[in-house]
Amino acid sequence: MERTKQGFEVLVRSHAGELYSFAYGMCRDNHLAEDLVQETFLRAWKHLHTQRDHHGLRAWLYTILRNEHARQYRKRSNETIDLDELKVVAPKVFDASTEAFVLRRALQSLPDAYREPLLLQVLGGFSCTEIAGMLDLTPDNVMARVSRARRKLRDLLRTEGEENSIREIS
Amino acid sequence: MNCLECRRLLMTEPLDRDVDFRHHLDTCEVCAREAERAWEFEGKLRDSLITAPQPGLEERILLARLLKRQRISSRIMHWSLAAGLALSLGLSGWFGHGLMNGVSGPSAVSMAVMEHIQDELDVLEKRYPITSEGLGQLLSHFDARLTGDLGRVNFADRCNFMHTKAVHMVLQGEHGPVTVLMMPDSPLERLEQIDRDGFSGIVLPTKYGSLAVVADHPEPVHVLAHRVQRAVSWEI
Repeated sequence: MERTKQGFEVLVRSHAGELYSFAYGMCRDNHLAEDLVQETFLRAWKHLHTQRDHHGLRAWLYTILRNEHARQYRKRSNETIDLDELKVVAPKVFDASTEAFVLRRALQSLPDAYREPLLLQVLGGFSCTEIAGMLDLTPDNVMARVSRARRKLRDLLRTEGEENSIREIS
Repeated sequence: MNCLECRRLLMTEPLDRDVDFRHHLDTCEVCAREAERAWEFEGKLRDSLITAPQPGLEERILLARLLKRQRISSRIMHWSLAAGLALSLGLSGWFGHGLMNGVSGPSAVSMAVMEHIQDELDVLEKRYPITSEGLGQLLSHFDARLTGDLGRVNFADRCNFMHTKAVHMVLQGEHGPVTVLMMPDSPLERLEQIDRDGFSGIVLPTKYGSLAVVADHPEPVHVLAHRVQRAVSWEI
């Protein structure tokens, strides 16, 4: 694809929001999520000429972001987190209902192996076959992961609901 | 498409537009109700995950490109200094602690166990109960035999593991499936805990090699390991 300023701006304005949601779902830190999205687009700009057409561009952007997240994760796993930093990591805008809060918390308790393909499916709208290609897995493996992720989320929600009912009764 | 296939699809690709899937939902009331529930859940899940960035993200990206790859962060700069200091202190503390306690990283066997589980996650979903005869036949390839009760076994097969063969089983635990790997050609020096990517369990040395018991949810893995040890005898 040709690298033009206008084309890049369209790309950024079309996908920055959804990539941010995915990045935030992966790292739960709005500053890091923003850094990941910026880095994704900067890398995309550098290699845009390697993309032949628009088909697959979204999947490519998600793959860059995933790789960058893995790189950042490796880098940060040795760092000590400043507790003051944690106070400001909440994003500005999201569904503030209790149910959404519970869902987000439940999602964070999922193993990475389940959370990532589920985020790609729910936020990216990719099929299991497409996700399999992105994660270098078999479609069966991806199906198992998203299925187990959903089952676990439902179980966690059910448990949370039951605990709330008990609290209300007592 | 039958009801089972339909329910499976509702868990794996609930928004699939497959014609057979849609046709089944049009003709099966029970599945249609289940689909409504699944779609409602998907909507809530998606809504809960959509998060808006700080205003101006797109402009910052466009500006960063103009400034030739300098990321424009909304973060306060002095955090970098604080993080640097914390990192220095953290690393010196970690190294000191590690040296004093003789801590070492996970063994190659433990890492290979996790890789194998991740590579074959789909078998956690298998639900064919394996009979004692089937298990006995599988174990006979390893000069081992079944001498006790393993409980319900959902899956069992021979797998390639670190250039050798291993027994890969999925037992039905108290709260869900539990992976058991018996690795006759992969000796281990001491018991190791696994706690990675949401999976936890143990890998322990045995007379024949090593044994791993790992789950993605809380399970009494030591009890299960003991059960496996008692139920399988090795001619070694």
